[in-house]
Amino acid sequence: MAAQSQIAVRSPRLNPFAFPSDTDSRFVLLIVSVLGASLFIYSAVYFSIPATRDYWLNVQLECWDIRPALPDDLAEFASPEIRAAQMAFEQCRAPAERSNAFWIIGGVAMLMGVAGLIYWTFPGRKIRRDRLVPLSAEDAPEVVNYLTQLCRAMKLSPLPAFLWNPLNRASGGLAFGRLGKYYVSLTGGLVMQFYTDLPAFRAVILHELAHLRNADVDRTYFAVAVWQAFLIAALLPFSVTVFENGWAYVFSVSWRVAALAGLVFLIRNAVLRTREMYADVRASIWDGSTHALDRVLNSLSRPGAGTWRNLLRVHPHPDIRRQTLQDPGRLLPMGAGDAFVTGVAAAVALPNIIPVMTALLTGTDSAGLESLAAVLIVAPLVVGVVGLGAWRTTFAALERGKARRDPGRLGLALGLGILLGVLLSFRSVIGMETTAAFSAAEAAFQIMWGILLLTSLFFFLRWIATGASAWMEVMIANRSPRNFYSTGLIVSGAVLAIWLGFLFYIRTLGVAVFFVLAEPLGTLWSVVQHPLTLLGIVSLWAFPLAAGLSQRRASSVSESSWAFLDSSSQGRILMRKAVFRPARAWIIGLTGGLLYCALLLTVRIGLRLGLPETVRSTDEFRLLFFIGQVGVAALLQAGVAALATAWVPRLRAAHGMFSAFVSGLVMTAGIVLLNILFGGTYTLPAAWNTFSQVVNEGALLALPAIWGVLVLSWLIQRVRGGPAVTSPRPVA
Amino acid sequence: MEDNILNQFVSELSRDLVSEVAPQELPLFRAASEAFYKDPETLTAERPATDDMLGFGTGEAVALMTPVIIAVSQQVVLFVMEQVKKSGEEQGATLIDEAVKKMFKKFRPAKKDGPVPLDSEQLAQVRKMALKQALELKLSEQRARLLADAIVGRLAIG
Repeated sequence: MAAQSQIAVRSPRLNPFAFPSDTDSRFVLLIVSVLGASLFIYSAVYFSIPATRDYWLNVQLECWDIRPALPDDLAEFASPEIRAAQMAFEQCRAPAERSNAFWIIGGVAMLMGVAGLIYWTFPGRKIRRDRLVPLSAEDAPEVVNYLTQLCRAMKLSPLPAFLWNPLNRASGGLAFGRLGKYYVSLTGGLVMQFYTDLPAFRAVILHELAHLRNADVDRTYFAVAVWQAFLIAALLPFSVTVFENGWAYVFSVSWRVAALAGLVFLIRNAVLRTREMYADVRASIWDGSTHALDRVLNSLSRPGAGTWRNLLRVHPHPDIRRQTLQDPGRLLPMGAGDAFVTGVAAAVALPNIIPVMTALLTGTDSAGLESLAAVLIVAPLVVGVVGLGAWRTTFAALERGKARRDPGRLGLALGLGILLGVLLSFRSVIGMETTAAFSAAEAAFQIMWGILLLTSLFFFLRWIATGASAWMEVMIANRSPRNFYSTGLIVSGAVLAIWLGFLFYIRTLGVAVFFVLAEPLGTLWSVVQHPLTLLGIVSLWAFPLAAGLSQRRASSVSESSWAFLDSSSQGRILMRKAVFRPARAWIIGLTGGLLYCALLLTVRIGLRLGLPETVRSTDEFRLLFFIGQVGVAALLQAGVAALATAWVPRLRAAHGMFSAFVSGLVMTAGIVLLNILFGGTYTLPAAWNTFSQVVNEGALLALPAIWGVLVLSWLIQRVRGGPAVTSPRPVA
Repeated sequence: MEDNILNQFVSELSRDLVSEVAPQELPLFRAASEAFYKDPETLTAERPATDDMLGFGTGEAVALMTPVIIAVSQQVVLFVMEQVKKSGEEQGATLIDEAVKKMFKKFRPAKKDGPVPLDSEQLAQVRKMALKQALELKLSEQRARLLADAIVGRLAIG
């Protein structure tokens, strides 16, 4: 222990409170996973109760006659006739779908009501069950006086009520309560320690008061209440009603429900475990030392170790608590497991929200927006948890002078979680009428969709971490990191919402998406030109490079006022400097754009000289020429992006994207101006249309080009034997 | 013996025992004894520490002896009272109360006019009973023996 104490003195402890805690993110995950699982379960209950199921089936059967048959030729899937017939069918069955949706929403509301009741009545039940009585000055005047002084010194307001059970001989404390009314209960054994071992008594009390300061009491008891309500109001009705069905259906639904219940249980345990470690750290800050708490933790009984056992526990292993006490920076990096669970929770919620939204929107003009609406609910969760995790991981790595672990693995874990969550959704239980050709195409589509999801999330998380790394030295020079990571999460949340909305939209369409997307001037065209796509693309480079505009930057972590808990012993760690070369990227982009304009001018002159007016004035020629202009512009932007990526030392992808954007801007100007110069006209909407196509298509081609350059340079570095990443240097 | 008289006597005896075997617990004695008399079942109904999943952690049960001392003292006094009744020497509740008190050294008059003290067999029985209950209430064996010996040491001998 002496050695550990020395470590505590020598090593600066990172401040885990600089960012929202894992307790917060896991609590959000718990609520989302309960909601997702409940949507699933109430759907299953709806289809298990004969009255509701028969009503739904009767409506579907009545509408069956007007349902369009699946075409043998997949190309006919998008024909207007089939679409019109599908719409009529949807409107016919809308009442049944809405009844299903209201049932599910009502079930979730009931579950939350039960959870609220359990949460609200918990303190009263706890006091009765544990025979707790107020700790009065008459009982132990010195203890009461000490506790009051301690609360005042820690600036707790309002003061909690102290209760105790003098006959409870164990040594322990517990902070509990509900909104606005908090208690700290003490055992007789703990109160006795006041007289026999004051430092230990103080350590335990500070730990309990830290729960109040960390504001985790409400979340904890609501988490417990949600789990109990889930058992009572969701699993119980499910267990009673599911056996009304055939065994195949019972099995198909039950294993999914079991998996979802397991997920909710594990997340609840994770919430309860994490809060203890944050309370330990807070208590050690107040106490000014880790010694007493470390001694108390060392005296706790040690349950068997092991990953699975740890997952099932509601308390972290005492050894883990002690390690975290000495090194709170351990709380900052996000593990792949957390990202995976986030993916599962999000994906359990998302496909279960979509059918509810679909049911509500069936037969209305807003049908088709359900994916977007559901994603707008879920994307902030994903970014709020995993995105923030990437920020915290980056912070911990840079400040501790370690190379950052590849954040792409968080993206992969998130993607795998989403794939599992989709499998657990209620929609996957219901078989659809299909043909052999359709099934094979659907399977191929699902595989491609999964690969696209994993790849995009891999790069998305890397992008968030790159942005975080670029902003780190600006953050360090400021008084709080909150504004920076909040802005970063809003930007990345918007980007992810756009992308996930697109992904789940095409997943809803299934294999038919190939025909819908490929339709001339159809969905793909709309997606590429969409202002949201432009917003997403601009965000990719603007967010990391904007850090270069800030005048306030730190070169050392020791300049930070918030990064460490122990200000007295900060080691000086030089951060890896974010090198911004926007001017270089701008010049490359401008040069590429001007070269394109020169090329376009040459081609135009050549066409004017070489082709007769009658040919040049046809619609076919004009369309072909326009497509050619945009296509060449997009290809050149990809080349410009690749060049810029290869030419800057850091934030290479961001510089490459910025360069492509600049060149796209110049190219658009060239297209418009040369068209006017050569006697054409350009309206403002037409100019915007050209700009969107040139920039967005250029960016979409630039992405693989940049990726190719990065892979190539990585390979070259490997062959040369140089370091792939320059680590920051700790100095004396 | 009326409850309040019994409780008062048990309190006196147990406080005496606490001051000998666990003096550090004296500040809590009054509160613990009040809680015990208000609801004696609390002690035996006490849940294991592991049950409280939201508390500080699963701590080593502190050997807080006071509640155990009170519970054991109560049982010993009831036993002694039973022995006095069996001897048939005393009649009437008040006389029995007085006789029971006089079975303990602290309250026994110097001159030998008190009731006949417990014999060695009865003392062994008291010790065994005290030890058993203390162990049942999760006191460590060492402390349980200490308590049992202290109780027997307070009883008058012939």
